[in-house]
Amino acid sequence: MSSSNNSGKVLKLKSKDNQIFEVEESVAIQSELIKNVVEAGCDIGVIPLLTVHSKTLRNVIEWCQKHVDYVEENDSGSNEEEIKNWESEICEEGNNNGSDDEETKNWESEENNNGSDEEEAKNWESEGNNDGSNKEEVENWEWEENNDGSDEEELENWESKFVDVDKDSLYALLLAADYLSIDSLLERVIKQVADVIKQCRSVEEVRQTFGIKSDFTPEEEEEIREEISWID
Amino acid sequence: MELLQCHLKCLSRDLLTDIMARLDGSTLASAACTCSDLLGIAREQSLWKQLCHSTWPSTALKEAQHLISSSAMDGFDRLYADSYPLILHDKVAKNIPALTHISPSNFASFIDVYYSDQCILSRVLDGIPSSGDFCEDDETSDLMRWLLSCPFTLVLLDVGHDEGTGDGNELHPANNQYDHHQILAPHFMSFVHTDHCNELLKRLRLSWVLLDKKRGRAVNLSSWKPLLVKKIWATDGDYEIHFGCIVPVEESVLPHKLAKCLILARCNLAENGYLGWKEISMHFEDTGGVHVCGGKSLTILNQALYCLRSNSRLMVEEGYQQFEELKQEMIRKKKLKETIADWLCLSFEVAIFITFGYYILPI
Repeated sequence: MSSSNNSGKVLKLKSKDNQIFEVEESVAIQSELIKNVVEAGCDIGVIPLLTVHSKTLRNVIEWCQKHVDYVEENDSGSNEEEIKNWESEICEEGNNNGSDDEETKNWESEENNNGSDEEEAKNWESEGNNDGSNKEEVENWEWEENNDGSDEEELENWESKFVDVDKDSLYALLLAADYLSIDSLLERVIKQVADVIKQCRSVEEVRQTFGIKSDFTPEEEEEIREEISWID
Repeated sequence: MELLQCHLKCLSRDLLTDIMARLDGSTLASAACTCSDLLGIAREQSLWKQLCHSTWPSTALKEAQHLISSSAMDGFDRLYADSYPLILHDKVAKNIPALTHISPSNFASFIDVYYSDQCILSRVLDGIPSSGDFCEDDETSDLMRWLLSCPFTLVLLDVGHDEGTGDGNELHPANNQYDHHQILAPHFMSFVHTDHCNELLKRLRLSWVLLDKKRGRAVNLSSWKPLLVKKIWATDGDYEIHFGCIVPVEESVLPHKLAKCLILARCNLAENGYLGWKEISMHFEDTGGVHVCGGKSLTILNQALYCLRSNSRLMVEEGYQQFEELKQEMIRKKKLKETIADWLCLSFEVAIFITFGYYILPI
């Protein structure tokens, strides 16, 4: 049985501007940084996140919550099925025990086998019983995979809307995701930044968009432009 | 409330590298030009190597990697910059190094064919197959003389005309020799006997990157999009697809200072729904449509490596149109000359006949 996702523990995170956010542990540990803090047992009281502003932290928490919800939604189906399978296994074993007992009694009387052989025979039989439920489980997984397509698309659309923000917010998200080590958010924001750069049609536009100041001498600049003249 | 100003430069190098790894070639080059930090990251060969491999999967093949690393090519950024833009027909490049000796073995070709943006065929060709093994410096050898004087064709694959005369021998999936040349045709191409020229025109793409191993330069000889697609009903519905470019050359090489590089691809659609490649080859033609010989072709290849390029597909297509118009013009002029010559000969003969008749008959 998988461990319950609702451990109920709530962590307190403090943003740069001293706002406290109460977040469930299962949501907060999407961040490797917070996960390490929890595992090291340092999560008593408030966890200070000194470089993350409250506005950004709110968004980050929303991202983590969405991903935890998504995982839960897609897992709960299989949990129910697994429970059903285990229940049916137990019933089957219960039904079969009667005949097993008879068989083992026969063996005992006929061959005076060791205890281990009896156990082995029982194990083989219970394994045999399990095969049926294993097939069911496989079928369930296949059914779930077929249904995941639309859920994945929905998540992707949500993620695209989430990162469709102004550059400053995007930049703040990027720094926060990097600091907090949230892989899924970092990956998506990096992709978005790359997409924004791709939309720039010239070197000047890239500089303007991202506030980059050229530190080349005029000669160096000319040399580099000559090198990249092939893009025209 | 202070929000951070967006300063890309302030990000860690790792983050910046991750971001730049997701850019396409032109954008990466633009970003490199913005400041020294980004220039430093953009100079990392791994980024360009990844771009080359994804744009031309043939460069990722083992043989290709060996050829590129052992060549004089500066780096993958140079390879990308040379091979991505297409040849511009407008003017001959200046400062082409004088050639003392061009050997066919100097060249290697990386060929990729794509259908609907997916690569379906990738091949590497080292040297020029028909040149065989011969001593590089031995220009007087028979083989070399034959190569230089005969019409030149660089062949990637040629299944041959006498095989597969309608029974689809060469397209049998179990026949390993031809497995590589087959691709499952998209489902709308399931009707073998209809004309699929439009689909091929829209979705088929070909790239032929030529590398000069000795001098570390490369060029893309293809037009990416097909220049022409036609169905040859006479040969069981083979499709003939033309790719290529117009190479500006010096006047001493060819008249009109233009050569046409023609990449011919022939394929057909088998009953089992596979698209089978029968021929992929490249040769040069002059404005008269005449197949250029080996010696001149090597010179043209050399000039192509140094000619100007452009990313504007429109300009490249215009160049092709202009060449075709020039070719038609040449053919018209030639016909006109021949017609005039015929008429002159005829008039001369008639004049002689009349004169003969005038003097002889009264007697």
